[in-house]
Amino acid sequence: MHKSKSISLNAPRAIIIGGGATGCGVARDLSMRGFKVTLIEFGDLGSGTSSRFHGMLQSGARYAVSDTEYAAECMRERLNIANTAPEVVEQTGGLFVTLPDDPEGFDDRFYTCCQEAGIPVKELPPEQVMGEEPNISRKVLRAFSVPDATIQPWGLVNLLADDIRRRGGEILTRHQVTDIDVTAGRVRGVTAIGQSGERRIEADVVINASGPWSARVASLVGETANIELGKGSILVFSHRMVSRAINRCRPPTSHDIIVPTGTISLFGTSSEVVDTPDTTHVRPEEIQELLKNAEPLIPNIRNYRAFRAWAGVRPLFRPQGWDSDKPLSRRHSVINHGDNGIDGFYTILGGSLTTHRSMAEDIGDRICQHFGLNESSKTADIPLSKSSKKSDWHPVGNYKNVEKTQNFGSPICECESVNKEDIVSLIESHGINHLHDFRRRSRVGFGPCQGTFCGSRVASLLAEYDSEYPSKNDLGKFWTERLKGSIFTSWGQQAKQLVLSDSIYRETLGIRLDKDILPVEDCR
Amino acid sequence: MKTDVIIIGAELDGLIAATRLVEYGYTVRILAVGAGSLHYSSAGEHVLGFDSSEQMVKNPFEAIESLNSHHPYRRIGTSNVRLALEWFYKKNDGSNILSVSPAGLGIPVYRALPWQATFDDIKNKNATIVQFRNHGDFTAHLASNELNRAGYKVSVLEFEAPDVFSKNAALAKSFDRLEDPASFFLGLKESLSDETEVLLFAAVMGFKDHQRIMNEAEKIIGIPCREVSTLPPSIPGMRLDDDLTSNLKQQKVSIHSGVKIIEHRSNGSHCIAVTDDIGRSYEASIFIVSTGGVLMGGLDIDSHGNVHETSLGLEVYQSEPLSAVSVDTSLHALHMAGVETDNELRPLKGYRNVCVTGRSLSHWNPAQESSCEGVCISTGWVAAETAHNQLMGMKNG
Repeated sequence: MHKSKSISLNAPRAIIIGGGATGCGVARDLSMRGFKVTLIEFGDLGSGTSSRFHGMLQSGARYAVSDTEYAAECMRERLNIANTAPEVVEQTGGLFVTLPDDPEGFDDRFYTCCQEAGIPVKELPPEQVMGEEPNISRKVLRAFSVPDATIQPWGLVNLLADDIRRRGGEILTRHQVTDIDVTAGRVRGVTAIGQSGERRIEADVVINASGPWSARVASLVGETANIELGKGSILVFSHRMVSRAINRCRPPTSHDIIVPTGTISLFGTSSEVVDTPDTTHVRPEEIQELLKNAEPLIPNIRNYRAFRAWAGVRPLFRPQGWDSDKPLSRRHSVINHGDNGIDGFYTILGGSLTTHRSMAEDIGDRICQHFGLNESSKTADIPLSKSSKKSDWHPVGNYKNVEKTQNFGSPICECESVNKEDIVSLIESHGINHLHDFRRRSRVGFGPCQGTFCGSRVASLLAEYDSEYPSKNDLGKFWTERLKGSIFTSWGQQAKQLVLSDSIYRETLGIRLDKDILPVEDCR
Repeated sequence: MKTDVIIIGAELDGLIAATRLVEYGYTVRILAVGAGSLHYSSAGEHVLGFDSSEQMVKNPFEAIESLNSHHPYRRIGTSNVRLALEWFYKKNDGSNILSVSPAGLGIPVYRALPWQATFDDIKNKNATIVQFRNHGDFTAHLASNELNRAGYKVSVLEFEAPDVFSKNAALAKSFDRLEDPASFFLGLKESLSDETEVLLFAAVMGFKDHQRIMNEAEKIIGIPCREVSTLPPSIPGMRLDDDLTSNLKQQKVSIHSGVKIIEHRSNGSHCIAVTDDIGRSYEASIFIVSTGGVLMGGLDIDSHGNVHETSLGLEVYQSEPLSAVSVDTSLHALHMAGVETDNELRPLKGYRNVCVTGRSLSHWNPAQESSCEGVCISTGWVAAETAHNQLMGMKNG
């Protein structure tokens, strides 16, 4: 195999199914090892589980007691991401607090296990913590600081994708794999259908990295994947009511964490086993359960403005013979379907966004071994960032920029402080032509108004650049999609906001709800 | 000092009730937290634009029968709706026309506001929409894109506004202050293509001097000039609000702003007085609740999903469940919540000398029906009639 940067003509060809953090991580790892990669994603990059969680970059402390070895892996990876992609990481720090209800003695074990896992843990006086975090309970008994952080999931996935493309890899979004070709016990390629039609792509190795959809993809070749689908729902509040990610100091279960991200906070996570990976509907009872369980940690939580709820489906690996009462490990697992006579087909399961890189390294090692290649992973050492400037992501970065440039003239999105120039540069440099793509790239429509004011402004800019832009349909889709997440939180101020938004879209603009995507069952 | 009537809230319906009541010669006091939702509305004259199956309505009066039987229009009856709208709009032919929205789509209105752009204005004509630079609350390119794809001929002219302001209210006031409107419109005319036959502006062309500015524009440019509504705040809504409140003030109606009602006194069957959040008490014979529903805080929804009426603690209708069956049903439930009343707009359960109007009423959906102004005007008018009858009754015995 050639060691040049360009892809050799006889380079092994890999197809990765799934464009979340795992799939993108695997694609990057393999392209750095000289593979010619094609990544196929059913929806948009990072639109599944990768963006449907609380956005934490785990120090591993959460799993220190239950799985010290995995906790140590999280800590190593957390440091690595912060070094290689600082612009998508906010160094919030994390806290674990013991409240009167939490099991006695857990905190001592927690402290010891963090030390064993190599997680820098420090006990802080409760008075100090309650002083620094005025919104949390006044009943904190003990508190520990750990180096948790938060991450911009779409930022990470886009950095990985840009890097894959730079190395000559191909990324197909909005393409569904309909067939995996297996001939004479070997995988030969896949068939995918996209907007431009059906396409057959040849490959020497196919990696199923489709998270909760893994079992569905594996079934295309009659294979199974041992996953348990754990739906987790999250409630979003319009204030940054804590400055650090705060966990209850107890065995990790549900409803025990609040995470500040950007200008907002997320409380989560509920947990229930579901049948299908498409179940991202948050039921009213789940919202009540989240609120009830948040109150011991944040007593005044009902008086904060919740403006959205979402759910993601975790693809947890369930080893055979696992005791059903025991919580499933968060570790990942690689299935080599070659053991069942399908040479070159792999499935990667479990893990987390924090460990996406080490997961990719693990499967990359196995694949290289299979091909007899002596190429080791380089992802830990080569920065993901394009710029050499190392600055962390900052929640008020946009606002600071407005102050610096004194450009108050053309705000498009007041909630997230996005200007006309930001949108125009996305249109001109990335050819983005749908409101959803703008949202993921620029945070337009992420804030408390949920696209009430910015939707038509962005659509007007798009219409200015593209006379074929289907403004009525795109606005209808955008608004209906935003409503799907915010309708769950129609109380207090957000109920007013929803009525105002409805008045603007239907009465003033004349946009109707998009009937095709109306049901709360998600269409991703 | 006791007045005949106290109106809680300064919504369109409250202002209409007050206007009607001073015509009868009653003393009226308006107690409001702040300005009403006219500042948010597109302030077209929406009476009934869509029926319950979302089909566009040609004749609003004929479509009233298709609405749910508790709908405010059904409660007060079509004949009262006709009387109220004739009184306010001086029009009774019962037909809708299509106004042009800032997204280039058609919105059915009962009557066009003065200078409001309609599809008749641009049909078979070359139209130009003026986009003032940096005016983010107006979307000329969006409108022209949609209209062109629908077969109309519309282009956009980017032009400097008379002042650097980029917000609706400031822009409107800059037109009021414009010392030499003639030379401004002359400059605009020079930038226009000769083919332009009709000119569309954002609805920010003057606030108090709107008529003068638009007359001047048409005179100088020499073609019809029209206005298209904007994102909120709505200048046409503010103009209407200003017209109504100025007239009421002239009629010696006291309008108290910044007053939040937190308590009331009753004798069991009747409300006697209301008290505000700094302890001032106001007495009246009749109380009209015009508090703007969920949008304006007249109805509050708690985190358990229960709806409360915030001024007098009236019982509220709400459909179960309020949230998350599907987007449209949940959104519909938000609008449908409100106070249920008899045909004279008195709450089914509660005080006999109270009327409820507008967005605080149950069983209607202004966004889906496009019926906001029609319901507000007609329920405000009926509440005034109910108050009049009751006050006459008290006087006579």
